Amino acid sequence: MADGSYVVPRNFRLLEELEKCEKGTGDGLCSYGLDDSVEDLVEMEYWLGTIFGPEHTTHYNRIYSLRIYCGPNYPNVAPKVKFVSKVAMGCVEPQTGVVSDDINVLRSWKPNYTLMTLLKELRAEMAAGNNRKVEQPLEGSVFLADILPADQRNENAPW
Amino acid sequence: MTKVLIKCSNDKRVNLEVDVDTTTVLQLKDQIAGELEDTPAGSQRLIYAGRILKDGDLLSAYQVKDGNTIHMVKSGSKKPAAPRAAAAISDDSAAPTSGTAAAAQPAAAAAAQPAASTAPAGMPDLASMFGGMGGMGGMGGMPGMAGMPGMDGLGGMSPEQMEQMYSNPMVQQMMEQIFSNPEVLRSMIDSNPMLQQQLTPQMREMLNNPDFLRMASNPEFMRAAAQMHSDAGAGAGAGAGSGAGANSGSQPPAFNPFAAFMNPGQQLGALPGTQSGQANQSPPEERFREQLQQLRDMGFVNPVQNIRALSVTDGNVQAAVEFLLSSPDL
Repeated sequence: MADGSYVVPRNFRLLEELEKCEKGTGDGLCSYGLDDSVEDLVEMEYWLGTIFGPEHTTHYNRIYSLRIYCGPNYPNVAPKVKFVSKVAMGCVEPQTGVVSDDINVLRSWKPNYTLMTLLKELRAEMAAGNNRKVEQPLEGSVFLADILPADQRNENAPW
Repeated sequence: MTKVLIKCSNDKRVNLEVDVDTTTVLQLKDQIAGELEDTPAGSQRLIYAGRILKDGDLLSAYQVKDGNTIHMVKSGSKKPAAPRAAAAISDDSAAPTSGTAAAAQPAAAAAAQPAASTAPAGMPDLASMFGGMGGMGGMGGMPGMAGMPGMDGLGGMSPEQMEQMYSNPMVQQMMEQIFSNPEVLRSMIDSNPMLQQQLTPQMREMLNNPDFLRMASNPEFMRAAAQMHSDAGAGAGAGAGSGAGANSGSQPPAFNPFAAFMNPGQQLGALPGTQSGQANQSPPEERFREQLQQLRDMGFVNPVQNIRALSVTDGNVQAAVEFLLSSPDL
């Protein structure tokens, strides 16, 4: 790259992340894995995540499910992420559950960030500022989580 | 057989051997329950690779492989409800009525501060109460009620605080007590000249109307009011309240809680100047000129929304930005 930064090979990196999540490294507060409900697993585009709501917040004791999309330029380009479980947070689009690209971890994404980094940051976001005390939707309710048919989706609209 | 490690949220670990092709998640939970005390299968939630495991599924459905780790979190006891509101209220609530008349004045004064100011400590319960009344005024179906200076207390409360407050049994009880006993209410009003001035004939009538009192003391109604506030956004709610108050002379008495929320922008226009507590304040576009400029510079180009956000946040730019970004209808 012109600015001297290096490009991390996408699949190499995602395989590494896949291995880590299956081994179950981490504390269980955030977890992720490959979404095997989509037809093409080789590309490793679609991932699932869970976040255990942080203590002392209205999120506590809930397990939130998320979808993560790693585009062809991951990890040099930030993944896209949306909540499957309904959640009320400033950075989450209230109709679709899509997480705003404008939150810190996505806006200033770096290639050495991982899906775990993303989930941990989102979890921290739940405990930050107003998100901590916002009244939450009924536990277990979900955003519409359909993934578009393969021929209709693209990097900008992966769901 | 497949070896799996169960990692618990309290750092306990359990090694189990299972046949993933015949073992269901529920059976695995039973096995874990056998290994751990105080952790019945029903209170276990298992997470593997970003998925919550469902009781009826076989482990093979989740591609659990040898040596993998499954995380377990207990679905703990219910968290203490509404901790903030409860803590604030518990102090003075032992004798909710005895001191009411005497305390009404400072509470109303506190509540009459500009929007988004929080009630001073030590007076939270009464201020909240007035905020609560304001909340009902905000429904727009009760003209006159919104004219109470207490209305302003609403601005200091975020929707979730309102909701918390309404769902607090202590507050419900207190509201019930007040509304079920017109004398208490009247003595509160009589002891406060500011309130008296505000009291329109319609409002007196309303306070004597058993139907209204019954409705106002109904916790479901309170919750509905709070819900509507959070739906409409705090700013719209506050605007709607004062709008209704300003129009109380002409507004038909029909109960139409939604009308006031249909056009937040319009009610916003009614906000400056109509509230007695803010009579001496300049309109928001003047008060927040600097902040408005900042918001414009940041790319928020809609002045109506900007003013609304700044009014709700009392001129705090950062909070206003958050508000603008988080408001679903913007």
